[in-house]
Amino acid sequence: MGMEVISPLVDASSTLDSPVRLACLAGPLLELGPDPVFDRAVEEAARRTQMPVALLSLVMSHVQFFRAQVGLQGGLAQTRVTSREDSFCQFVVITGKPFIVENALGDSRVPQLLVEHHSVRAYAGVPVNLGDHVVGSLCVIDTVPRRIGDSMVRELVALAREVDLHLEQIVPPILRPPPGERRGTLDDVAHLRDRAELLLAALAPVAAQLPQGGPGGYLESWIDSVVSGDSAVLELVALHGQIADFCHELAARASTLPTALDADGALRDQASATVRLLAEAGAVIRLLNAGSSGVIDGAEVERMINAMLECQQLVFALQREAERLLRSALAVLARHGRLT
Amino acid sequence: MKGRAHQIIEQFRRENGGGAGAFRLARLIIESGINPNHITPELDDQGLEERLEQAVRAVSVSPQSRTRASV
Repeated sequence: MGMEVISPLVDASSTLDSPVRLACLAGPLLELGPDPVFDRAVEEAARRTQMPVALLSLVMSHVQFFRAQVGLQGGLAQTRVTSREDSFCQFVVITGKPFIVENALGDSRVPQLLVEHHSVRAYAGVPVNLGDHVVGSLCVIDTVPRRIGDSMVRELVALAREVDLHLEQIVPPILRPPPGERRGTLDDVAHLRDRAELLLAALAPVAAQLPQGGPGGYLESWIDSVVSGDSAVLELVALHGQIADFCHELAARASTLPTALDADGALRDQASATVRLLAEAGAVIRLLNAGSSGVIDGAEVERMINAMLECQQLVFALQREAERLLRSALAVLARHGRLT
Repeated sequence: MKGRAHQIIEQFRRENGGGAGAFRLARLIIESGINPNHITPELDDQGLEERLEQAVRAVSVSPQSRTRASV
């Protein structure tokens, strides 16, 4: 099979960052536990292609999360996450087509970080879809260059279809209330306003504390902190759990609002976005926490730096979403003459 | 007592510096449901003070008791 050429006309960012696509990445998709269909898909993918590694990768706004995997070693097997910009699977999402790399070394189409650090040489990934959106890739990887034929891609596509069908079954309409549930009121909108303010107040010291800019003095002290397992990382883990619960409550509350109050669904979407960002941050913090527990050795410090920077970007994204939620809530309250 | 809530927050900030301290302050805000920006030295609200003290105790418990798998 020939090399897949990525058209410069494809708007990569708008595809990868499509809010509708990203909103699909929630709930059971992001759980860590085993799933018989996902697990079978990666096991069969590895077996049928004779490749040592197979992944079901979900490509999120900052990271790719391996929902199922076989063959990963070391820290990657535990954290199951890498930066999106280092991923090969992003190209499957961008193009919506199989993406093939027969020898990644020096291949200008692909980022070289995973090539250098994890000896990725051959890669074949096919789209995994939820509805009309490519949420990730079912892929196989080898550490030596490989010829990847059409039959191998067909095997992967067949397995990916099984994953697609399973996704349709397990992913519920996102955070929508079942019929007959209680309907939210203006008091709920006022509650969302107060909670968004509180979230912003909590995120302010966090944003100030995460590493600023590129590698430098502060970043190095953070790496020391992570590698030495000091309490900052454990505090971050604890904080993440608290904020995740907080945002789930926000989203549940927003989901009850009737269209009379949330006509364009902005409050619901923004509250859901906070949950999604928290899920993504969880994947990154897992990587930091694994580092602090000594699972990741010093040679992988570059990945730790990237994780910290991703974490910072996610905090900023969460701040932006909380600000939007606050503005939307204030606008609804103002429209209904409730300004205090 | 007037100024008590302000005093609690200021003491918490003094005792919790650095990276861990910033995250702990964020935990305090979420745990208590109280925005420190709204707490002035003039504030006198016993209920709020009690909520704040309770939250300080909660976040002062070592996070190591939480499992790493909780993320």
